[in-house]
Amino acid sequence: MAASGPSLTEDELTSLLARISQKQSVQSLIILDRSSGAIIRSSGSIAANRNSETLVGEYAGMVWKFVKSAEEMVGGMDDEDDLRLLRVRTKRHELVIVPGNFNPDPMAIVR
Amino acid sequence: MEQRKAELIAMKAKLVEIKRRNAERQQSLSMSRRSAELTFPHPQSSYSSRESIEALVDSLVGVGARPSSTGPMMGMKSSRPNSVMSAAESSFSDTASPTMHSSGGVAMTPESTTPSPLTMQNISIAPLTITYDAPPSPVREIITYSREVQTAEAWTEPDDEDNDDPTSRSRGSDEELRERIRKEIEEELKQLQTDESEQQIDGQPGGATNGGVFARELTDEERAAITASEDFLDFIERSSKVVERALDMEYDVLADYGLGISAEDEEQSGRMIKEVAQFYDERWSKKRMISDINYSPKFPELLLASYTKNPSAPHDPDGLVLVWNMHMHHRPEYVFHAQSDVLTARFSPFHPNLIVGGAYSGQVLLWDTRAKSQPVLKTPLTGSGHTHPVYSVSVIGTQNANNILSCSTDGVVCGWTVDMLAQPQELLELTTPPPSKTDDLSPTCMAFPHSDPTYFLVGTEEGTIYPCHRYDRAGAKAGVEPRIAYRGHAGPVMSVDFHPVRGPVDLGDLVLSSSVDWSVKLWKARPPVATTSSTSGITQTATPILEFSREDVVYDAAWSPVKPGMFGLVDGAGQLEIWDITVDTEVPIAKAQPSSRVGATHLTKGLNKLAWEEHDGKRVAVGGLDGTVTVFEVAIDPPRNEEWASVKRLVGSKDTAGK
Repeated sequence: MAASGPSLTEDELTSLLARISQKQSVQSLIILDRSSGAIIRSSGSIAANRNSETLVGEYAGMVWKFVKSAEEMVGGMDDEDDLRLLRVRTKRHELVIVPGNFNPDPMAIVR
Repeated sequence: MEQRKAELIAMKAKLVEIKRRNAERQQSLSMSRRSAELTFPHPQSSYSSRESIEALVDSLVGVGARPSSTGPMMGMKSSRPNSVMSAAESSFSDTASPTMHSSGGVAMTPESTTPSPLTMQNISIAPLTITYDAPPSPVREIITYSREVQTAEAWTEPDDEDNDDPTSRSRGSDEELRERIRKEIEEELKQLQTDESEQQIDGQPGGATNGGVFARELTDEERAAITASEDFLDFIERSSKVVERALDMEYDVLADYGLGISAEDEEQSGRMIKEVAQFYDERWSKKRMISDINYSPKFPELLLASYTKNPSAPHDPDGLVLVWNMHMHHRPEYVFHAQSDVLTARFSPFHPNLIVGGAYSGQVLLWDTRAKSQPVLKTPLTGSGHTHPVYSVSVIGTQNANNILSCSTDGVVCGWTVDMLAQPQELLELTTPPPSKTDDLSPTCMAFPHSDPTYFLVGTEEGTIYPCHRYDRAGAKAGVEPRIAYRGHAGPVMSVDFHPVRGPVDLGDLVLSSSVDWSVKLWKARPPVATTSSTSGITQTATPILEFSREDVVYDAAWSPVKPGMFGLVDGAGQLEIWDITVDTEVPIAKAQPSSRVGATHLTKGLNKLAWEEHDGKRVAVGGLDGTVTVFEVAIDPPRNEEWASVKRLVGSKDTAGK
């Protein structure tokens, strides 16, 4: 029963992520493993058609690399510091990246 | 013998020649992915010299004297140059075709087995350094690749490595190296995969082609293991909130104000009340009614709403408190549960993490935003506390000494300490003073003046408002003050609100009450000391100094926290009205109605509660039967000093006129 459980159930997790990815401005939501960059979950329009599987992978790879280098930069300025939020605005898109303390980090591409 | 010697010399010469060529070739290889022309001659040359080498080896074996020293060396190292070459070979072959990768290595072996001892003598330093590089990364799958890159690594900077004192290389640099290696692997794999995916565009799905940079895709089990872990869920919970807040943030830092304004903004700007946000959650708000709203005293963007039960979802908790964030519209910041309908809830003014609530079951509940959704403390269902619904709770006192005061419909008022809800600290039973037929008193609401924590007003179901004392004091007993009653309402009183004291003139004795008799009334509360001087035994009746008749039942009315003469009210027709008695006492200065959600009927339009944001008093939140919280922005001028005086004057004139 949801009332007593402290953590989310599988369904709740799915609906939570579905809600974000169904927001009008959100194109896609990808959750990566922070250490290896492997894709844990992905949803949204760029993940919708089967052919785009490679595209998601490419996106994920690029984002992962970007996060790594950002991490390096932050770590270089202060060892104790850690990355909390990345927002990247481009002419067409916006990326919201939240790196976790735990392995995965999610990403939303919007607009 | 002479002939043999000559032969040997000739062979040595050949050997030297071969060595030189080999060295040349290695060098050219080390320059890596140059054009193929450069590398072509070498296989040729090596083939041409092959026979002679074989002969040489044969002869050497035949002589049996010299190879004894080189033999073990060769045996030991032969595997290394193998990989050196195959790696180097593949490093240029993979640009052409990645599938060549393995075959390239195979092709090299026959050639390299024999010349390798010879090369070895030449470049023995390189393998030496390689052994230091050798500790492969712990991931098994990557080992093949790391070897490949290791050698490439050695080739690119053999000079540096040579100059280094091998012993000085610490673990740290190993880590660094591993990191670098991993990156290069990614590069290569990416290249490989893009090539591959081009080739097998309709080939095997999944598996090898995950299309990404990464060698392997997570298996379903791994994925399940990750998604099921507590850490992961916790992380998703937190980070998804961050993402939603980020997405809902309306202010655009890149805004260019030179580009013109949209027409909608202009249309809105002329009005006094503007709807700014609506909070509704499909999962939680559905089919529930809002029973109370309260703004956080600490964080002006947070507000809570308490909800009654959803009759169509028996498995969901009956009572609910949702904390909404102005920056996150579609999802509550926190969800708190209760076993019974929550009828009232508020943030503790002294502790921003705590939320106090009253339930239909008579329980007083305490939630903590640092804890999970269950209440951290609650009063027991049976025994010494309330046994009837609690419609009103207040947190009274000071930062260091505060109590929760709760009031149930059977007339019991309890005081609790915030850390112990097992037993009430004080218990007071309110009864209607003598002249009435019964002594039952059923309070619907309760309000404390800002100046005096020992005295309060209760609004009752019969329509009278009674002052009450918490403690015995000179000339008065704890409980309902028998000498005065505020009569005027003909129906149950829905709200009582003391004027907030925040200005040059003390208006703290002004009380606003609303009732289902379609009216809001303004009272001047008599200070409790003054009542002691009047003759005891006879109940004085105080009458309202102002009445505001409305067109529907009024469910809530509350003073603006900043403007002395302003208050807001909500009614059963779903209207929010803003009044200012310094401007007009007959008509509201502004009216608004929340935009209805799709599917809402007139039956669910009614508004139950209203709450002002207390910091600047510019926002007011309303909520009602349809479970939607709507926040309006009220355009107000900063209060002027004359307004305070004018309210005082108005109240004074009405007060004396009434007597």
